[in-house]
Amino acid sequence: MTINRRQFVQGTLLGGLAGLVPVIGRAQAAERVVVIGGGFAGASVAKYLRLWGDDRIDVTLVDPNPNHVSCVLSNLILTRQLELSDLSFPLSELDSAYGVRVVQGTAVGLDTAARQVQLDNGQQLGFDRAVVAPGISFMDVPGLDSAKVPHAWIAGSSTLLLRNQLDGLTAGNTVIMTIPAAPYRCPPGPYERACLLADNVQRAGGGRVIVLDANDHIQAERETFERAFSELYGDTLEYYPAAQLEAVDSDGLRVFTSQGEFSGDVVNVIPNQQAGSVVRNSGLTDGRWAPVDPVTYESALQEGIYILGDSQGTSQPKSAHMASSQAKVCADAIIRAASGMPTHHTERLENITTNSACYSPITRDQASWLTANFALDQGTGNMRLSHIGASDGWDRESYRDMFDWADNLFADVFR
Amino acid sequence: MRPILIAGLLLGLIAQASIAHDPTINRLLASHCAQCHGTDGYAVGDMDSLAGESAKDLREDLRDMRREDQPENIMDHQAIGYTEEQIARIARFYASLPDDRDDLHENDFEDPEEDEEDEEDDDHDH
Repeated sequence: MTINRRQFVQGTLLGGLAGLVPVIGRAQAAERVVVIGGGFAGASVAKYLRLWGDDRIDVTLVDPNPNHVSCVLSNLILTRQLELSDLSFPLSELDSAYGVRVVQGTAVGLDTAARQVQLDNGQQLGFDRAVVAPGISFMDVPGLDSAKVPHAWIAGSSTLLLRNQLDGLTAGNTVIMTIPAAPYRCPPGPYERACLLADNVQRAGGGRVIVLDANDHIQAERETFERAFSELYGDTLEYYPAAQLEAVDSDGLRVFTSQGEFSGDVVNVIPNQQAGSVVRNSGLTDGRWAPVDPVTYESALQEGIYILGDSQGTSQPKSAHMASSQAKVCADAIIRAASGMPTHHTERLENITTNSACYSPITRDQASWLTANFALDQGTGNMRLSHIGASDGWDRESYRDMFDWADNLFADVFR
Repeated sequence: MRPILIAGLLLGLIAQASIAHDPTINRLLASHCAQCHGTDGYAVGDMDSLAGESAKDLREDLRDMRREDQPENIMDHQAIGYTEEQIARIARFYASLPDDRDDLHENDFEDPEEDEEDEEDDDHDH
């Protein structure tokens, strides 16, 4: 995309005025944007399109559920420190606070030529631009029945099923969990889960937690989790790297991997992941994920379609905080494009950044943290990790800070 | 009163645009703080709010953090992820907002006059 200097100056001026001086009339009709998915990415982009774009952008958000249930903090449901209701956010607040039209339904198709989203109830939603943020979907695992062997990786009924199974643990029981091949949702999440499963087992009188990781090593906060596995949970937790999941016996609670066969009393299989089905069914993926331009999050394959959060295929981690960060870049880009302003001029390119920060409970009252910054590499057009930092182990202060972090994240996205 | 104010704003904007200061860039950069510090920097709970802080204080705090020899908390690390110019932009954005969220009108940000004030940057070490 090239923009000559005159267009750039005009665009900057006009767009700047439109953004800053609402008293100037708006000639053109509002841009219609349909957002598919009310998770951290979708809710953020819907909110910020309205917050920043005002009445220039007409936003409709489609989600199968009236509430979004946060995966963030959801491992604390397994320890019975939180309930699902603590992590459920009504999407209707985006309507009352920002004027986002919320439609309950499942987007089953995206007609990029006719500019329409098809819902499972037959309804069609026309759009000028669509943002697709459905999160992850799971890849098939032979023999896996998620009604018996929960993933608890999309928070909700699956999380409760795993919690109820853990409630039945007695001394000497074995819990098995499998960790998907990267990239997957929430890089530190499975290791946090492993710690809290071990905590559960210890509280039930002791037993074993077998962690079967498809990856060659721990994928995030490696030092912290290696230490936690040995120092806190060494008597309980057995960690197997490079254990590729091959099949599951969901009735016999057996797991077959490249490292052998394991059987347990509770089995938590987190399957390999890919972009949400509406992304895959709409010609937006290249492999497991959807390629995008991270200056706008517009699809590399379809004009006017934007993909955010876990389904997009940049190298950025698939985390809630990151999804919200991406959503802001996307909202800014859509408003600019709809106002005839440039999106790829030097000043903006130099300031395309995203970030992530998160806490992981390591015990029931101590947590670790991880932080990462990304910036646009103008040479490659990709996002580049500009800095990463992690806590030195875990402590009680971080555990308390975790709730302030989460409350602010929830408020910035859903309220 | 109002036409004069608008005319002043327009002049300020034209001046800004002519030196390629795009008014939404600072807002976009600053929005990445909001996941932890609240929308527009109005935090909930014990987290620090950023809205209405002085640009100089924010800039100096962030610069001190990014120059830590041994970064030890999340903000030390986050600050390292931004250039000094980006930090100045973020500081300018939050300084342009009122302390109290109730006084906020979206699109009010970045009063050009206040911008001028912030340009007098006393530490030029890079």
